[in-house]
Amino acid sequence: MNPSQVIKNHLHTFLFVLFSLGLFGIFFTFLGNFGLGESGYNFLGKTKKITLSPGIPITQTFTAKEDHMHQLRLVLGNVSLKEGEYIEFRLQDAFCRETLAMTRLSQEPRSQGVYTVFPFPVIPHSQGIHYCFAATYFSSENRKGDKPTLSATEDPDLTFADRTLSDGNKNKVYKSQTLFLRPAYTSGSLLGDLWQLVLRLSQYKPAFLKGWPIVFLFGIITLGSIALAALLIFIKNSQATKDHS
Amino acid sequence: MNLRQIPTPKIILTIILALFVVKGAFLSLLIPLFQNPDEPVHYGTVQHWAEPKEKSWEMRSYESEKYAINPNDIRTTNLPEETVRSAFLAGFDEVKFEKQNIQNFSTSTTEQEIRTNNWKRYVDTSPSAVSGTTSVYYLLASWGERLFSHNSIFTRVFMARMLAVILGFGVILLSYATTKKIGFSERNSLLFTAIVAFQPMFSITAAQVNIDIALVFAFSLFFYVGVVLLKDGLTWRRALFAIGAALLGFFSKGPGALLILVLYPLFVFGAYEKLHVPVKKFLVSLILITIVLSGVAFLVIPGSYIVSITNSSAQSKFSSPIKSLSKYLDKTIRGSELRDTALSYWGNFGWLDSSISDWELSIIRLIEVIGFVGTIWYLLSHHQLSYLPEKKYLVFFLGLIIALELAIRFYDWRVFDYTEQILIGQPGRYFLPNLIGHLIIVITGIGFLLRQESLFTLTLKAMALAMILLQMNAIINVIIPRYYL
Repeated sequence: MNPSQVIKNHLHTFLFVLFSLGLFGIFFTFLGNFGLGESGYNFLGKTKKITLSPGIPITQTFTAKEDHMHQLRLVLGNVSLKEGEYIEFRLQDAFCRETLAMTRLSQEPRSQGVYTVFPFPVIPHSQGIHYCFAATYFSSENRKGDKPTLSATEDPDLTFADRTLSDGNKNKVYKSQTLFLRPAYTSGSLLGDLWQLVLRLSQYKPAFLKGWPIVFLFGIITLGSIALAALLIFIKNSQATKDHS
Repeated sequence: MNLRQIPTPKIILTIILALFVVKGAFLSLLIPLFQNPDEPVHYGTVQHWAEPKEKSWEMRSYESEKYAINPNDIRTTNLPEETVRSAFLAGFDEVKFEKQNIQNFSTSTTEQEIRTNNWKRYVDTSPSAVSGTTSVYYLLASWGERLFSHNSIFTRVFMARMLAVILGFGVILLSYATTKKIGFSERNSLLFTAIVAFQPMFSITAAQVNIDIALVFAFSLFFYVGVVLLKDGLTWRRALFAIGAALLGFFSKGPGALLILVLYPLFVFGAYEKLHVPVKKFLVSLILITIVLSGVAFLVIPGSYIVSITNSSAQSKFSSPIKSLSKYLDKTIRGSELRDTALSYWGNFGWLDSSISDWELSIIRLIEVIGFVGTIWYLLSHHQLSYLPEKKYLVFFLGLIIALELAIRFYDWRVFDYTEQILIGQPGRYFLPNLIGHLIIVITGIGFLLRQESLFTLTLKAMALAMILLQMNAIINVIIPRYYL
């Protein structure tokens, strides 16, 4: 085998490794953010932006509807964080005093308007318990017009009677109003959670495709894509390199 | 198993096609009920086409009902009751455009109510909101609607989406046939076919209830017939084939009328190649024939049709067409507008509320620009690289791309002219009919810049793999989190 052929073969292997890493990264990202947010309500009506000012927390109280809460999923507004800036998320007790979990967000969300995930260790007995979420922005400079924002409902809604939003920036309290925030729960195992996702995918779908057929279709797509990628990379050109017929 | 020896092109093509169908079925399931653009209207139209010829029900007048149509309340839309109520119960208004909202997964009673409904499947209000377009998609889907009438609406919508998958399947086959015909090697044709099969926006367009996919299929067929005609010459059979493809486009969606116009230069080129007459004589004949045909067209085409596609009877809100046009261009030829169009050409799903990432789009656009520059350079150069298509095909593809671009912008401008608003816009899916031509231009340009077939093939491989990843990422990290998490 001549040297150029050896390089070519390695290049093909490299391409396949790159593809595999890409696919792994896609699944890794998915699982890293995976969480089944509460459903049964939506954030309707007008939307307002709650501006985050440095050092001043915005708090939101809410009640967990199930046990095993392990995430809060919330929609940030325009977030362009400069170097050294970050937003601190805290899960606290009902009185917004004791911190149960904390994380820092120092990167912009992947896309505007989609849920940003605040993960924390599973809370086994969360159902019916009142919690407080606090978001505080930290920055050494005073950005006037383009501070980060959080999205929230504009009008009180009885659906959110258990929630109270406090805007420390304006010193205002909004009852029955909420940030776009959904607690998420786990069934205790990844497979259990993924099956819950399959059940969600099955809802409002033809009866013959509910459950396992969805898993089967997805499995074929994933394995088929890997097989196709391998074939496309290692395919040898046929005798008829060009068809001039 | 030695991968280098076993797979034959036919096996790989079969795998691409099979994967496309499975992926199409999955995408048809993935997007929630009626959460594709205008899906309630299209499905309502399918139901309307499936109505029995003899109407046994009384029509209600829109005016007497004194409805106020509210675009945020599907219940006020004059579509078949089953479409409207199913959409409403499945959370249509709450989820549409609102990426923070999802369907209600905490109860199964609404699903059961939709599944076992006894609602009217016909239009009983006049005027209704069903589409007035005569499309082959509606015809085929209405057959499916009747065939599966004993099934739930979930199954019937799924089947209507699967019809789009079948048409998409045809597009994939045609992309392979077209690239082979214009001179790409077997291997490069397969790589190109994989790129088309995994283009995320095309894939989702080929998995929804919409007439767009019929137009994409008609254009793809026209591309294929066009290159056959350019390569093998004009014959009566090929001419009829081309006319058939153009008519299919005409009876798919409005912009399909463009294909009938493009037939003329295509036939002129074919005739010139075939007849071998002196240029001067040919030009004189061409002018005479053009005048005669224009006269015939003037007499045959109904004035109302011309008025409807040009909106020429509408009252302009501007003092002159120049002012109107410059204002329109000022509003639409902007970086943000062009980026939005590009985003919805490559991957902005649902009601354009869940998109691929900015960085992904930036890389794609960079590749597109490089490819386009390469193709222009190739066209202007004296080179003819053996592994790239002849320039006449590229001119044909470019011509169709420019023609569709102008047609869509013209129509958009005409609406803007009397409303002062961008109501139609240029969502990227409007440009998907040119997908095959567009991607051939991009990869040809890259192939020209690389100047070596082995490097070109390697790049195509990388692009095909990247497209598979883009599609997988769109499913796993964009669509699923948007609607189900």
